[in-house]
Amino acid sequence: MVVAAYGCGTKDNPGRTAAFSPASASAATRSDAGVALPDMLARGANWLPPNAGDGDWLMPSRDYAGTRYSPLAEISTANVAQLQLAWTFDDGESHYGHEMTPLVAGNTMFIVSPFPNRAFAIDLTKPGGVLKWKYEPNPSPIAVGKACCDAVNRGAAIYDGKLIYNLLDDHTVAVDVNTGKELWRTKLANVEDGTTMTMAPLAAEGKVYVGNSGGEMGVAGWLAALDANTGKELWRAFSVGPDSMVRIGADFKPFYPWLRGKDLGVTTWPAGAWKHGAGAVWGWVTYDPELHEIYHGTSNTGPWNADQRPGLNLWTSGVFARNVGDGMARWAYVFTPHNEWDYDGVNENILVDLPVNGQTRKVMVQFNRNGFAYTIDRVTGEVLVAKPFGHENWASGIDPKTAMPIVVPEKHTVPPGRWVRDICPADVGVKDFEPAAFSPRTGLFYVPVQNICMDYKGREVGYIAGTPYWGAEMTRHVGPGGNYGELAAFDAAAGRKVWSIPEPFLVYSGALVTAGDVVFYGTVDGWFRAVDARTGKVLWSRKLGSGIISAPMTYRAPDGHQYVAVAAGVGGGAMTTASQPGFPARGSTYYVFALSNAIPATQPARTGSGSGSTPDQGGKKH
Amino acid sequence: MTGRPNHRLVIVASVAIVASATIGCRNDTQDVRGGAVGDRTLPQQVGTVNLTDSTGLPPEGNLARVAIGDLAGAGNNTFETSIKNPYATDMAAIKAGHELFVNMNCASCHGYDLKGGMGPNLIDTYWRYGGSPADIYKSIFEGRPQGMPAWGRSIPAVEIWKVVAYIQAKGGAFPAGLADRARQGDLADNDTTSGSTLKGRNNVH
Amino acid sequence: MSTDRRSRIRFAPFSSIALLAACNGTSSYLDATGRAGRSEGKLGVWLTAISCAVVIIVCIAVVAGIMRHRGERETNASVERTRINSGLGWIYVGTGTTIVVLVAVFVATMVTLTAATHPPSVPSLTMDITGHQWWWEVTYSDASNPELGFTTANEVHLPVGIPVRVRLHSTDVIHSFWLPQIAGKMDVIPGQTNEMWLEAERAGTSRGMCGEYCGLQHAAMAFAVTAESPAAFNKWAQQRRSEAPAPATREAVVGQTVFFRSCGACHTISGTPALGRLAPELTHFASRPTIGAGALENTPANLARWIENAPTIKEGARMPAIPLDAAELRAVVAYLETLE
Repeated sequence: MVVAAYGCGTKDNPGRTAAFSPASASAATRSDAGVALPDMLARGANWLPPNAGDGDWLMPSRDYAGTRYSPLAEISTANVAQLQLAWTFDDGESHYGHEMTPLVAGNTMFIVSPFPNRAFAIDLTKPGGVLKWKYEPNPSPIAVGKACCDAVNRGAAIYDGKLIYNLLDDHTVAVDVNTGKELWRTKLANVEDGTTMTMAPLAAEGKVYVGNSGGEMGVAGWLAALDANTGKELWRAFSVGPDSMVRIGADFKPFYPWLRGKDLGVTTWPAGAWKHGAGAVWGWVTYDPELHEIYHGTSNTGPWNADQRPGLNLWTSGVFARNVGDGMARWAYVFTPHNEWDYDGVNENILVDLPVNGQTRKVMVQFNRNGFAYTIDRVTGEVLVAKPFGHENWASGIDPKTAMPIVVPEKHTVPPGRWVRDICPADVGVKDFEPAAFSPRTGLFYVPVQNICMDYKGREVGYIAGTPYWGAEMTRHVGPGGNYGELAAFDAAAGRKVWSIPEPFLVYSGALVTAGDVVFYGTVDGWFRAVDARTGKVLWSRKLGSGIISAPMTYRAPDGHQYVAVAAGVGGGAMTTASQPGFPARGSTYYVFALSNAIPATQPARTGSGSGSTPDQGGKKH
Repeated sequence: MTGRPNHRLVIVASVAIVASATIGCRNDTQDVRGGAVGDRTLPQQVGTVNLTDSTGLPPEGNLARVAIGDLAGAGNNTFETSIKNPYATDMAAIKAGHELFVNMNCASCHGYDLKGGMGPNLIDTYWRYGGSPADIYKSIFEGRPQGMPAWGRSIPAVEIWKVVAYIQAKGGAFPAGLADRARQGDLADNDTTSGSTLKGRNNVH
Repeated sequence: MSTDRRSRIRFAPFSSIALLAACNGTSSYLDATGRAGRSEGKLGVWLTAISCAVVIIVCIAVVAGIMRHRGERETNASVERTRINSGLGWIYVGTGTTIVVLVAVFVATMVTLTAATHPPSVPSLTMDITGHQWWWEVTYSDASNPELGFTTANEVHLPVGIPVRVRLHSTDVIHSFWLPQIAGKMDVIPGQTNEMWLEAERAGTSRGMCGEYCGLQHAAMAFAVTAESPAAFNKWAQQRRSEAPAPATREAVVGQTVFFRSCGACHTISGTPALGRLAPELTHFASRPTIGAGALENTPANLARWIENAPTIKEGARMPAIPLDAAELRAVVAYLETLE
């Protein structure tokens, strides 16, 4: 068995060498692309939405496990240097940051713009990508002023013939992938109160899982499940409040004693403070179809000024494992209890099976904002490994017994009203929402890393509905070494960095890794790079029109060739470094690359076909 | 030294401004009822300012005052732009305005340094809804479509003028009387008048 | 009118109980009901007695000296001789006695004050007092159980026989937190947290005040002090922790809406969206004895006057005149009166 092979891994290099020994190769499966994968590691990469071909990309992370791994191997370390620009597409919304990943289903690419959240379908059978339809949901402009960190959107999901995504003004919409007609639209909250929605939904088991944003606006965070056919809300699980609201029942078995008790979402707060305690669910949701569990993080605690909320402030800045059907919590863990620094827990939880200390465990790996990479047993909620993956100085470590952070006393921001200097990381974290990728071929995680620190001053703040419930003032600066960004390859079983590429600007893009052993990522100054997944050698780079804050994706086009797509439109949290010299202007362009031999040498000149049938792009209304 | 401003005058002026401004903005899609912060269900008749005449329609004469193609319908309305903030040079009022700016969470959106964040920069010369003191007063009183709450019901008129005074003191407003020129981009750096200077013209967003 | 009121409050500690009906208590340190206050009061009595004794002895000595030498007329030389021969010894006696008495008083004072600053047992209950111009924010907290914390304003309740830790903060200028009957005063300094403790020895109500001049309305910065049995205290705390009830009458419902709109940015009523932190929290406002930290007795008529134009009643107060029409004013008063 493969498990046995992993069992003999040494502590320093647990089993990865074994994974590529002839013994384990015989136990490997064969993907459609013909690349051999170790069965155990590849399991998550095979959890795909229904009807997903190997060349498709139906959700931002491609698979339910959140690996962002593609089995396509036409583009490989050997030929990636010949990558050329195939075509571009502009959604016209350069005012706001572009954090979404394009999706591809069959012959069509789907793009969702930032506010006003237009959706575009692009026909890939025609040269240059021809617009097939456009959908304009017209969300309320009020939402722009309620979004803390730019009017962004993090993507959509294709499920059962529908393109499903969230509008900034708290609606979820489903659009027919063939016609661009709206099938349903569900209102989930009032934007006037400060709630917005920016996350990419997860669609599975006939349901759509969506969460709110607004951790800086005094909201109470929630994850809601909608019926994928009708859009009807089935249940809503809050991140704060009594057990009934959090959907905690008899099945709830957190690993750590400090997370056990009745109504901890109320009793770990001053009376009533949980109602505006945030814990928004604005990050990623992943799904394990074997355990029938979904995993999602919860955002920072509100307000940032922790002086106003003594207590552990559960369940903010943490993670939940929930039953995929009824949403009842199975276990929870809190990364940063009584969060004093805005370290959200919403980053992606990548589901893999890893050999930890000589034993294969079903784990989830989260590279948290607070600077620690957590490898957590996703069956029990036990923290197996918690090691820094970038520069942090707020905690000296994670207590192995309680899994609570050991806070460095001088980095406490309470009492407020005074400047606390040089807290690393800054509020945007060692890593923000930008997702890491996992390659079952190398067993490594490819992680965008931020090297940014802050001076922080807590401030007393009152809750005024519709205005920020924030309570902090801060200035940010680059961390030690002077490079804002880094792409790191990380071994989550051992909790150590294998290689890394320092970047002068933030790395605020997600990562993509392919069966060709190429890692793609982008930088905030607009460099799009391809890297050898094993060595970290940069094999190819192109400067794009704006900074890259979205995750790249790859697909197989109708012509049979592999393409790589990424959006360049700086914005979002990357604007925290906008004063850095050389910081690019905003943009709104999607770039699609392919090997030079895949791109016709001369573009078809005026074939006549298809022209005149392109939908009207319409004027921009402002 | 200027004396203490006459409060009655201020309130009368405020009411006049808001009434005329609202009429001038009828074509706009924004919620001119000035729904209170955190509460959009308030009955319309509650409040201190009558926003429409008996027919519920704006009088023709006022409609005609809106210049075609003008920014946010602000128009070349010399009546509004020439109105000076009664507190523009009152140091105590500017201090009170600063406190309100922080305590009413304005700073959370517009920045403790007024250079913007979630909301627009207030000390560049780019004013979406007009940068004269009266325009700024209106924006605070009525709210604006992209998320700016309406404070007219929550903060008394004199207190709003103090917030405007603070923004002016930080160089945020166009000088009263020069607002029309400012809209045309015709402000040289030496164009400064009492109580207001222009700074940060090349501010980067 | 305002002069009347202010003088009334300024002299309140020394005037009759009747004038203090609004505060429902007295504020004489001689009638101490707190552990620290009692020992300090006793010390005060002894110091007064000793001082009086010293004054009397000195007076007697002076008079005796005058009497003894009355009528004697001598030359300059003999005066010199007399001073040298008969006065010097008394100087040693007088200075020596003074030193002994002063040292004794010093030691007694130090011992008493040291005892007064150390609670007899570790206080489990903590009270954070924040001085604002011109009112007191009072937050009770329990470190082991954050849920038990709550905030009120201008009122302090103490469980009899249980020491309470007090942390003092200021948001603006220097104030001084003084509950004359319970304990001595302690300065409240911006940017610094001073600590003291309080323990009431018997139940009763009294009046606390600001003991350091802090601006125009220094005199109208009072708070009501209630010492009560631990059971009664817990009952009170439980009540203060509870959220405001939903308004029952139509007028109160309207008043709540008006309150959210026009008052909620500064005032808190817990359990509602009004969560401002600039002004006294009002969740149980109707059960507090005064309005504006002792500026007015808490009656509906006074409340309406206060909301309409607080600065004319308490000049310099941060609360502005609130522009409400008559119906709105009535409604918001009706709503606030429901907040028992």
